[in-house]
Amino acid sequence: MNHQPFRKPTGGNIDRSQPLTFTFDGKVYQGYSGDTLASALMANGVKLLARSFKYHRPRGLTGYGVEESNVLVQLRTGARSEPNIPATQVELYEGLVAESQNRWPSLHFDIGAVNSKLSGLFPSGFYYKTFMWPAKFWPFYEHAIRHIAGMGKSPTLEDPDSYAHNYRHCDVLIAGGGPAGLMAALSAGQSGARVILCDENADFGGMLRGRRDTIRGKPGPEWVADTAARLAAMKNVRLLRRTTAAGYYDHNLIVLDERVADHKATPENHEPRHRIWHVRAKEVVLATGSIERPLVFADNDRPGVMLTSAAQAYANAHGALAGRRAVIFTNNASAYAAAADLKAAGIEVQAIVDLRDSLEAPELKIAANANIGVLNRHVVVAAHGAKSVHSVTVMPVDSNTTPVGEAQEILCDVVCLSGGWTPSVHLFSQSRGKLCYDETLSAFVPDKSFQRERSAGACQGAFQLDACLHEGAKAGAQAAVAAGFATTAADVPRCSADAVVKPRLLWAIPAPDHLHGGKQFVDLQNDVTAADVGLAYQEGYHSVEHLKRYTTLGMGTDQGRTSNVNGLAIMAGHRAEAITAVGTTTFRQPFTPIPMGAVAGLNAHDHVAPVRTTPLHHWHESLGSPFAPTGQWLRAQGYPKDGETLEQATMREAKHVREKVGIVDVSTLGKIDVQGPDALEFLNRVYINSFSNLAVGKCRYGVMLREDGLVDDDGVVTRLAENRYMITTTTTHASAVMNRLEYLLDVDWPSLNVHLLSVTDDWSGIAIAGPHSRTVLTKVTSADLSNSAVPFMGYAEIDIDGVPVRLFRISFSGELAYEINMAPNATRTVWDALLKAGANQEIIPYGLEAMNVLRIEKGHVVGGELNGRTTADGLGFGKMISTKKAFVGKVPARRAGLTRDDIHQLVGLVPTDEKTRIPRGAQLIADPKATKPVAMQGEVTSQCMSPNLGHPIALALLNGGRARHGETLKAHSPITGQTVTVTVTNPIFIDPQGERLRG
Amino acid sequence: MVDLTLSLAPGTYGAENREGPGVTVSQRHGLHILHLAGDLSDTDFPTAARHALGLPLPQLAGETRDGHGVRVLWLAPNRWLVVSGHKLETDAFGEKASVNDVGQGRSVLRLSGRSVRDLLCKGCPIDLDPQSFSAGHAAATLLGHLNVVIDCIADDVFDLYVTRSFDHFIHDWLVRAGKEFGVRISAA
Amino acid sequence: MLEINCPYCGKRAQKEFTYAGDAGAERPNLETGTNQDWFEFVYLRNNPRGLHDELWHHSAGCRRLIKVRRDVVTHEIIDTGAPSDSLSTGAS
Ligand SMILES: [Zn+2]
Repeated sequence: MNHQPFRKPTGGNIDRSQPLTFTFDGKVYQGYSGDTLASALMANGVKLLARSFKYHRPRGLTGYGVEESNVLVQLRTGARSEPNIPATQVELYEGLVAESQNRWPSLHFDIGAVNSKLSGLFPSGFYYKTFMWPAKFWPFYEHAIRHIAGMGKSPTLEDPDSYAHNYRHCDVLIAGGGPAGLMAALSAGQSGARVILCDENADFGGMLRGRRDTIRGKPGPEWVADTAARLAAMKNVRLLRRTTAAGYYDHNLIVLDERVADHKATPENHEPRHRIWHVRAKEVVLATGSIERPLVFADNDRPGVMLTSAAQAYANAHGALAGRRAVIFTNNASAYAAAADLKAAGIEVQAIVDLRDSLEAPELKIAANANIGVLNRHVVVAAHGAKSVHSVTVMPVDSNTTPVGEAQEILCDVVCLSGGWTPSVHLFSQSRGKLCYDETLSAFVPDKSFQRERSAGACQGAFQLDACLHEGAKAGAQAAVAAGFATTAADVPRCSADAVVKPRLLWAIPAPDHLHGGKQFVDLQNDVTAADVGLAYQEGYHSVEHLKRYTTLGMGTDQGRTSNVNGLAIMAGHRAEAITAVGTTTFRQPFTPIPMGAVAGLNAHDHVAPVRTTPLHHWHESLGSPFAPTGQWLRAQGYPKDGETLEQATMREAKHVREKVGIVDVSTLGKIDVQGPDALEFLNRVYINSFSNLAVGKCRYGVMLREDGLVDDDGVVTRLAENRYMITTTTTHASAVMNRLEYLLDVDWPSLNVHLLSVTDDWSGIAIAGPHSRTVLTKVTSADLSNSAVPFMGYAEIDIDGVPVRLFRISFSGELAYEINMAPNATRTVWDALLKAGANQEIIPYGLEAMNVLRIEKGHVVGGELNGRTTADGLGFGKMISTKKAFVGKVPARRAGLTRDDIHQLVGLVPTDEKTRIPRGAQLIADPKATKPVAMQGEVTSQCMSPNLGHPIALALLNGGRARHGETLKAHSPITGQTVTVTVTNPIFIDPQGERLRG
Repeated sequence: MVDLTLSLAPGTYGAENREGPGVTVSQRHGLHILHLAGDLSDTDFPTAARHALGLPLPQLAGETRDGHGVRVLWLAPNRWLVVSGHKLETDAFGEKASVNDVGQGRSVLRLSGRSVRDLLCKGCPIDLDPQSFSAGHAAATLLGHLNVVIDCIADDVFDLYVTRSFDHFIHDWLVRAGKEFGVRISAA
Repeated sequence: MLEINCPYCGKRAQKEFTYAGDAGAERPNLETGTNQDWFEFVYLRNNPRGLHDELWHHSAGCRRLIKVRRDVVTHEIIDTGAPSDSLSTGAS
């Protein structure tokens, strides 16, 4: 088990004293601390690691980092199982379990591979062409396609891990901790600026991790470690490893995804698995590096065909060998040092196949020193092999880069490709910076910045190490200065020289006739070939955005990091235009995928929205009341006795209140304190009715309209003092009403001297209702509560059991009733006092459900009726509308469409059989059997069983309903399919004259 | 639905560290809090307020002032929170002031410990770095979903003002957010 | 996510604010506004490319309404102030 046949005996940034055991597709392997899953699999000689998305072709590693297109694994098991994770991004830990994807029953015998034989059936646009008709079969097709196409499996168990967010501000944020980013951090750090340096990998170093450069005469990684230590000693510098700068948003907000615990089996000691950083940076330095490009030729997807820089990094950083015999295929000079590294690591380099005509002295010297043969003006036209490459066909090219002449076959088990380098401009582009195409580099590079950022190093096309160090130092200093700090660039150390990248271009190597049929892959992850791009062109999808959607080029987890430029260039070739004319697709956030749990952070499970509770919450809970969410509040629904259902309790409570007395927690009602010399004028402007003659110590019901003339909310206005009022709002509209009143004062009527304060939480509320309510109250206060002292709609400030309270003689139930407001801490005292004092009157607590029944019986409107589509007159408030004063919504409310006789008006409904419950949300129609569409005449807004009437009732909004009392209609619910015959009635079912509440 | 009882129980939650919990949360009881509104440009009001408080009203954004057992927090133009251990008369601020007793409508939580800023940064979007937000600063802002006032008492001590009805929820949030540092809910 | 400079509180994250509509829409006088005036105020808005004056409610801060002059193409905020302030055009 410990035998790792493709591991060098020494070397690399791994800890051979710490072996780690892991499992891939059920087989146990060993790697070392410092390995990724990819490097460990390579060291074990496991080459076939995946099947491709569409054709199920065998695939192996192609990259070293985020650019990996092929090897996506299902990582971990059970609730922590996660699909589509690139093996290159997984740090090895003891006990790691991974499975390959896209294969059934196994990687080596995959039934889906038949797709490859039938590939003529799967051209681009295949789904659109084949499965879109008939439309109703799409769900079936989609299911079948998902099964075949595979990808990983979402876990079905609840995620056991926690996630965090973190809001930070800094002067300079540096994305990328390679040579440029580290130098930028040194420059900015020495200025005293608050600096954040983040890097997506386990450690800093970037390109230095995988190469054999020297800085100050020492190996690159040593300089990296020294520099990181210097930075760590600066208190103003924060270093974030395993942290991807995932998104660049407006006003220099950068979102970072820190993988706090992904390198462990499970998070430890309550740490979050990921932490999302929201960093608002004054200035940004982008040092995001570059990614090598592959070359496109026949069967360039065979396992063993990979990026040159990847093979180099596996050998240098992990001592892992991609194979025994390599062919290097390049169009630029950067591959030569890599070839020498591979040779030094023990891989036999058969040849460097170089597309270019003439080679420069430095690379020739590297090849000569390493004793590697070079075939310049040659190309690889095809790779051969199935589950692993075993050879390539190489041909000379003429001056038009057309393969001509004699082909030769070279045996190899690794083919390293270098098609030039693509700067990682994703963040720059997300920041809305403009890109331009650099012909020399054959790559898009940053042109004009849009936000306060600057790029440094390889991400803007400066590929040489020396340039990266210099640019980083300069950019860091510039950023610090721009953020208001005085500094100069940090001293740049001397480093070894490296190659200048000037690729010679040939975007897709033409295949000679005898190799016809080999697929030339452009996008490995999405199985998009050069021929697919050609087909898209033929069918008229010339724009890059169309190309992307038609062929899926550049989609998926790797987002076209290796395929984008090749695909665009091939399209440009078909269009006979320059690449700049074709342009590039928009780069979108995030740079690499972020788990949904991390996006949610703490706002998950029962914290998706906040929850409010009243001071009596624990009391309700102790009596076993269920709670209903109302807005953000939890309201006690009722108090079932032993054996009772909530429905039965509701009937009992509602009946009891009408016959005797009950108390209910109404703390959730919105309350707004209105003070100031212009308070009265303000209220007169926002309510439809006037308060000019409302005396101190009196309450009045009020209705507000919106600006468009429809009803917004209702409530009670109480004049507490000459210039002080308290207004109530419905529970659910409280915050919207407050926002609107603040708007009116600040924006429209700034000359009014009025102060508003939401005092919902400063006053708790208890309503006492029922014929005995005065009797009970009298027992707990010495105040005079007679009809003359506190009449209906009266107000008094009294003591209950020594607690000062505000007493409002108002009624929601239609019974003799009072509402008591008190300081929250005293709520329980008052509640208990009432229950105790009312024992002889058989006082009971009642809940939200009974309260709702009582108000439906009384025809009081709430949320269902205040639905934003009803007029004041339609709800029966016509007589309240003041003709003497102006108020918000008055003029628009008079529009013809809102004053017709046949608009929605509030009515009551009773089932004609006096038995059947009227379905909630039912539509009122004349005849359900009529030819569709059936005209809808109204809708049921509230319904209940009325315990006091002994039959079901409902409130409804009915076209011209007030003139239709006595009519018979059908209440039809399209959801339940139920139809109930109903009679239209007065919406006030109980005591229409209001004698009880005045009693 | 939130288990509203669990997180309120005194005790230590989450990470166990040798140095003890990173954050301690305790409820400040018995505070008298007034919400004061009045027009600074009307000279009667600031004079009356100064007389009632024994100190001038803070006028800069986020400024707090202390003295005579009273702490005054600037909330908004012409709005303050007056916090004290003793009862203040609501009518002491003159006729031009609008005063509400909000002492029982808000929960005041004292958060302290070495990780307190890191905890607040998990839900608060303002710059809480010590160089930007230190003793003498207060801010009306967000913590998670909630509108809160954060008052910096000392480098690692903060008072958090939360609408009373969210008391259970904010405790629950503080426990969840604080677990990675270790959080102690101290007995009332 | 914008960063909005509240004229009262200073720079704050967009999530502390609630968008409150077009600052250019002029509310008709309650006493004299005609049906047509109200129709235009309630239903008609300009949708300019470029600079736009908006109202934002600092709902999780000072709870004041503020005026924000924002370039809706670039999201650049040119100036902020009280609702009645006239804001800078950004030309310098
Ligand atoms: Zn503000």
